[in-house]
Amino acid sequence: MDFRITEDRAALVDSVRDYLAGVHGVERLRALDADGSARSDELRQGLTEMGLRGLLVPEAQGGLGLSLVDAALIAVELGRAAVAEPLVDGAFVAVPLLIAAGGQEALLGAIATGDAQVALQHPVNGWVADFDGATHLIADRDGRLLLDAASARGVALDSVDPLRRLNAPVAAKGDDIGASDALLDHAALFAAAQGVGLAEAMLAQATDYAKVRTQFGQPIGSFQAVKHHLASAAVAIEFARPLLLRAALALEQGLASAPVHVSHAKLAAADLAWSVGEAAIQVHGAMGYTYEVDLHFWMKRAWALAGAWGDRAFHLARIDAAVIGGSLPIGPAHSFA
Amino acid sequence: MKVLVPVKRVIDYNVKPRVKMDGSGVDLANVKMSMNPFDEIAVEEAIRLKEKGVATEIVAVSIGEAKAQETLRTALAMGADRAILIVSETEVEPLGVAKLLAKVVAEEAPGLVILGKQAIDDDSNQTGQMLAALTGRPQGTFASKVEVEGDTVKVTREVDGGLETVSLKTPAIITTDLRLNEPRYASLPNIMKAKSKPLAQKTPADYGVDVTPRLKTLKVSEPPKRQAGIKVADVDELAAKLKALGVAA
Repeated sequence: MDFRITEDRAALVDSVRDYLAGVHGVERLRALDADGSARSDELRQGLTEMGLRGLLVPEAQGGLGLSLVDAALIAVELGRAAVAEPLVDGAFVAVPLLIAAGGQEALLGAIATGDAQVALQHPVNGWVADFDGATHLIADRDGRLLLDAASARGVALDSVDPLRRLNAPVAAKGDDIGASDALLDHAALFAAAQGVGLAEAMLAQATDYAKVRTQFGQPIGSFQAVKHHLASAAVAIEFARPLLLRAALALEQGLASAPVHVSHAKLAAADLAWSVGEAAIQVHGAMGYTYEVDLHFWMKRAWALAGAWGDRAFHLARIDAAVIGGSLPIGPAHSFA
Repeated sequence: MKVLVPVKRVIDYNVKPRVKMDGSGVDLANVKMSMNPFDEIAVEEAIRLKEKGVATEIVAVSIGEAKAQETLRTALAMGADRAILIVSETEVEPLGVAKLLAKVVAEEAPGLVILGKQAIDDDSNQTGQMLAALTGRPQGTFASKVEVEGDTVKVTREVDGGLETVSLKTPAIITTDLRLNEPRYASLPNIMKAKSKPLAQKTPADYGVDVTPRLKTLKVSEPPKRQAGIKVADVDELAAKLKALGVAA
């Protein structure tokens, strides 16, 4: 089997990367931060025109009908650019749930055109992201997902990430659209994807800095103590990416093992983003922690995503249960089968 | 009016080129390749002319290895209607490119040919001018503004002394400068649609053009490393340093 990303898929991902590099650089992040609203109508419009909201929406409803693997690869790019727009929750996570529920064609079409925005509420989080501006809410109640128009919003909450907008949860109500495990798994998958992108962006920033910052007459990147930090980060990224793709594929194929693969990917990606962020701060020296250095935008997002859609302990417990409970046999005959 | 837009696949402008160890050229192995930025501007200008109702069809053409198909797909995703790829696995020099384009022009009879003023890989800045000479068409090079009025096209050119405006009778050749426009990003829906747009494959032999290189690259080398600057205490010391370096009398 050829595991390489196909040229067509790579072309789509490259296009998104180039687009975000052009419109969502650090100047944009600083402007959104300074603005206080952390949101931009122009950016929102641009992301819609780029086709990102309709990525998973079926072609019949005006979307592109792409796969979860495509969406996961593109979510990596959203993480790389530290995009804070309510795109992942509202389009990438919500759409598969609405497709599975059936009968939501009008809403799916509206998501693709940017006319509808779905916020997500699950007890594993103590908050709802981007409730302001949301037209619909998908919320868990007793293990079932309820879809309703977004009306009463909970009080605004602070986030470690200044570009996230959070509200307290509200009482769930509305139409039953399925089991809530699917929400958790899809959301954790895309949080993992963003974590990989965040790590890659922070590694790139640290590497660039190590090439230009000189000490003792040579770039600090030439010193083993710095070089090894960066090499370890690069290796960790290479190990996390396959886990992400396996989780996306398992979820797309509806495998019974999908939840544990998602947990594995979320665990690896969150640890990855956190550790690469720490290494990047170390490489930058003391100023790595300052507001003036761009790194903090990515680091704060990594901190925020580490606890979103299940923290380390939550996902470790799911893996433990699968391995010890026997539903995920491990060992020579299984791990690589 | 039909618009023909030649595009070239080159090393991405963000990539730092590395010279091969033997000095025979630039190492392109595993390097990101993209559309020449000046050609992107040309595609964008053609699309804007179509959006204004001036152009009716945009044909993108590329000459190079089979992978140049990706570059043409990018042009199609941006808004070109169809594409022609003239496959040549050997490097085609500007004169060869111009000769092939002249054949395509004869076949397609475009009202305008809009091409980048130069490619960022070899910086030749020859193809547009050679094409104008071979086809006997008027040329407006280094365009920073293009206005089509009936069968004339007014081209504002960026020249050393400022701006020069020339009026050309169509059919004409235009080469684009950096400030003509800002190219759009190809959206994902358009990238998907581009897969089904027509892309014809040809060879130089189909046009009866000999593209055998006439030039031989003797050596390619890295530019010399810049020396670190020095700080001077005052203007007198600066003047003395400049005199010592022989750059001031």
